[in-house]
Amino acid sequence: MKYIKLYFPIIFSLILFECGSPGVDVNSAPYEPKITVEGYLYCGETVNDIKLMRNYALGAPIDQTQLYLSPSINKVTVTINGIPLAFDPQKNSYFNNQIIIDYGKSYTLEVYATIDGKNLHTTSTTTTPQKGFSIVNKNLGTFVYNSAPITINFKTSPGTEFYVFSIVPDSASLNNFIYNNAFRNNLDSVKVLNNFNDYKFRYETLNNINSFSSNTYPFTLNIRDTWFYSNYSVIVYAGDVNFKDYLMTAPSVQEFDGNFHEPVLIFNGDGIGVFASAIKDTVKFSITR
Amino acid sequence: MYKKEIISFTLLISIFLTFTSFGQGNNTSTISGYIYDKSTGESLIGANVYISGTNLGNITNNNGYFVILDVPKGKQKLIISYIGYNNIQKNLNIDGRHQILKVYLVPKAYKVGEILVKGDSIKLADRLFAKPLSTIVMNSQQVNDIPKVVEADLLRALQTMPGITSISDFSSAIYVRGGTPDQNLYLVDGAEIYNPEHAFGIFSTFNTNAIKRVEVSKGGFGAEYGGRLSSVINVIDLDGNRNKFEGNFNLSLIAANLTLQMPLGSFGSLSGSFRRTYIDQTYSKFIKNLPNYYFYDGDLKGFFQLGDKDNITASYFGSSDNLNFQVNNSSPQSPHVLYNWGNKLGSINWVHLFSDKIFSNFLITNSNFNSNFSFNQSQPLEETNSLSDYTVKGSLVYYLTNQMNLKVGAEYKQLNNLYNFSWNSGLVDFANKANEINGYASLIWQPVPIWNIEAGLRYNKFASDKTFTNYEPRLSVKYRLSETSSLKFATGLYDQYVDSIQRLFLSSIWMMADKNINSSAASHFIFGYEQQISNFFVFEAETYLKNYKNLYIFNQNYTAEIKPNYFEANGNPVYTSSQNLFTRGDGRSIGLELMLRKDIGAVTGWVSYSLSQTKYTFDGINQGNSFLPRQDRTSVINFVLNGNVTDIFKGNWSGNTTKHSSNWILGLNFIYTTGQPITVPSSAYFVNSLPNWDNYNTGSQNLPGYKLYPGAIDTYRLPAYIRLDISITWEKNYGSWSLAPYLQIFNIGNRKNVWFINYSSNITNGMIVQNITTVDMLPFLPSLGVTIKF
Repeated sequence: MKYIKLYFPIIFSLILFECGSPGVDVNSAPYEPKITVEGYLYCGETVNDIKLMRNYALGAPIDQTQLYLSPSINKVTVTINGIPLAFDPQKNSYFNNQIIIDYGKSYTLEVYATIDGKNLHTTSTTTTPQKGFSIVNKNLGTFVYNSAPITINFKTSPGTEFYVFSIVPDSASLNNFIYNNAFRNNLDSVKVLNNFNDYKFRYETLNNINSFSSNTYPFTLNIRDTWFYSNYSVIVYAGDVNFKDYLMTAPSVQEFDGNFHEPVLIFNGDGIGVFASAIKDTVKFSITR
Repeated sequence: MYKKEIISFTLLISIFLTFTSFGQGNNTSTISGYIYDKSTGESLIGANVYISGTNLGNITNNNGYFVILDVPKGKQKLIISYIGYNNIQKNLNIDGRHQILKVYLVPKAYKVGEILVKGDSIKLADRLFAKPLSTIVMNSQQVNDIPKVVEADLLRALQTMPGITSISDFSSAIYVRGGTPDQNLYLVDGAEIYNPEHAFGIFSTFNTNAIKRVEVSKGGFGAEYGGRLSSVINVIDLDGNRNKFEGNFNLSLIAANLTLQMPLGSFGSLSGSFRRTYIDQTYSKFIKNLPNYYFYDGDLKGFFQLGDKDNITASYFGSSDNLNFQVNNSSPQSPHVLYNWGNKLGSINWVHLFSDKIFSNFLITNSNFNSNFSFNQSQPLEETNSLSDYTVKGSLVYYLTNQMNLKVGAEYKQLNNLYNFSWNSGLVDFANKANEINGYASLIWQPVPIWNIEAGLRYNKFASDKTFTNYEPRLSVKYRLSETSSLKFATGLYDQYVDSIQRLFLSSIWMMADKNINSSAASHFIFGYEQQISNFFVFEAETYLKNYKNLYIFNQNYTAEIKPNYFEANGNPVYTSSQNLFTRGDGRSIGLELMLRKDIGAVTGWVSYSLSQTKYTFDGINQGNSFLPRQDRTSVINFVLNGNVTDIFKGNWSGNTTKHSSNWILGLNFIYTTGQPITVPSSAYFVNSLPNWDNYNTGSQNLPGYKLYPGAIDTYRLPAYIRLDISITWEKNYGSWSLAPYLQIFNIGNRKNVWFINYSSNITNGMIVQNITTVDMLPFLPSLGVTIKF
């Protein structure tokens, strides 16, 4: 009987020890300043809208006005194949209207910048796709929601195996949202609002397809890609390897069980983000009730 | 890897053993036989059999068989003892003729009011010395006694042992001394099982009521086992009651489980069990949109005694999980998920005595895992995955002398692996075949009672589109320091030819070693100390070092790196190779495990502490620098306690316990582990996913999308994982049957153990504020159930 005095206090102590909600503090994760690049080159177009930004320590409040790197504050010098780019303070981006992007050619971006008092440098090279990509029928007409497949036919660019379909409605609001859809009936508008951009911005990819085939390639959109009764403009990109590596790895660095892994980003030195090239074309259709 | 050193050392020992003389005198004889449970007729594994007043003795093998050689002629007293059974003394007249005995032990506490002794007359220290290093032995009762998550589960029970951990509450998969789940060899009655998972990995497929005994080797295992780097989980199911009809019925909140055993005349027995969940028939009636899901499993085993020298066992195990989920029931066009997976396992086992000294075991098995997943929508997805083997194996144990046994065996296995995944713009189509031949020899020698040496060599040949040949030396040495303490050492080389891709909530995909994936290898070095403390407690300390070579983990960026092998006519890629699917690396695990254990009396349980570290170095990960994988846990404390409260209140704390007409039984399971290492983002940056996606994350604030950039791999640790589970069972005995309702409470303190961290951002007053929230594991979770035995 004497041991019984020990038995229950042990249990009680363990329960007390076990209770609670442990705090998580990840602010201590080491932070290193990086030159963040968002730049795409399109064949046949000039160099424009090359955005250079900084990254931020996790959890830190971010002042939007300090996000973009400018020559005056960050001592930025930026070139493509050695040709300097100019800064557009209205668009917070860099450009050069004299450089016309050619098909099947390599372009190297080089950036020098100072962030948090640290001098940083990065380079990245993209090789533009070969000529050949185009959408066969650029207006697919009108579809009743979830009644027939929406198929986009296109001709490939030889050597370019990666294609992206950016599916964004011309008009997106709570008023034209498809509340009774293939997944749910009477979807709550509050839930829709909370995830609005996930419904609005959709994309699909094709990877490793046979780009040397002379046949047109058919691609059918998914029912999860259209959530609004609206006209849709689907921009299709024939992307280079940098485009593929960024899009297929950077948005999905958090695994299903919460852990993170490194994305494949094609930068030397202190750069992160994307510097890629593509040929783009647009196809339109409408979704009605 | 110290390969040369291990081979040389083992060869030396083997040569030494070979030249040692052995023989049997003219004035002696051999006694052999089987030990059975009198109440059920089940053979008893590990029973002690010895000649009184001598050093002659042995323990029964997995078939309940024993041999004692060189027994002097004349009158001898044979003593047989086994935990929980009355000792038996048999007076024998040894006259030179070989005698095969059948001995039936009577379980104690056969009737209400009798004393139940959970120990036997053999000293704990002797039992400890006999036990191989790094081995855990459990029976069905011990597995069921540990508080559970709704259903009793073998693998979750093993997670209460030092050196065995899990990754989260949502997975029953076990990590043994830093090894991943695919490095564990699961055997059910000798047949291999590949994906022992139910309910998306939450439960394992082993039906605990059908289990007779589980032996888990955490490392340093002998030459008879191979094909895995880390551990062996050897499950031996019940043969069946050979005397009377017996049943066991379990009812929990999610499943019903029935186990029946019956005699087959005088020559055998039949046992079978069946379990099915009924969420689809109960909860789904009340909870809207609950997926239609259930699993079942069952086994059937026939045992046939064909004279004194032969018995045959035929067994079948089958399991199936089924999910049928229409995303929107009212819309026929809505996406529809069908997912089913399961194991089928059949085996025929022939046990034959060629002579009193040669015990043989022959096994033919077929193991098949199959999963089918389909997602029907405008872009359908379909996945089929299967792995099957046909295996023939045989083993012989030659009892050379009382001090020396020779074990030899061979195995042939034919493996078929299929993985097929199709979607509207591609196809993955792996179909591999392989042949595997293994052979081994192992010599066990006890030159004097205080030394026990086992030296073995295993040969493996694995042939897929590339052939791998490996020799694996194994060595185990035990030394008795004193009457109550012993030292043990084990080492060996281990190779593995199949790897799996672990998937959360989906069954693992197995891939074979081939021209793209090398065979994996490991070396083990384990040193242990064991000490009996008083008549009830044992203390065990073990330290280990494991080196891994050619480990493979799933390449998280494979979508960007994988290349097609050819194209379909419509231009879609077809992938038939595992190239770029895995990342190769090496690793090392070191650790120290301490355990104080009490298996006897009204209160049983253990408290243990593990200190360990596992490090990986993988090509292209963390810039080639080493990192701690997710399963690394610096410290783990386990505290498991089972108490018969009725006895405790009567003051019968540590000694024998009495079987009462009713008992209150309290179970407790406490676990503390260092938080798991995870990779956290080191910074956030703002780049749109696609060029025309302005304002994606941040609404109308004219900002690009929010993204996270990971820091160094697995440098951050989640908060410590702490959990306490409690179970209370009231057991009422009515003559030959009993009723035991129970209440289980998982995570009684409702601690919010962190599963992972979520990140998001929003804009407040022109500032982007990053939000960090956690996703927690299982909360306070009570469950009710009842067990009926008849």
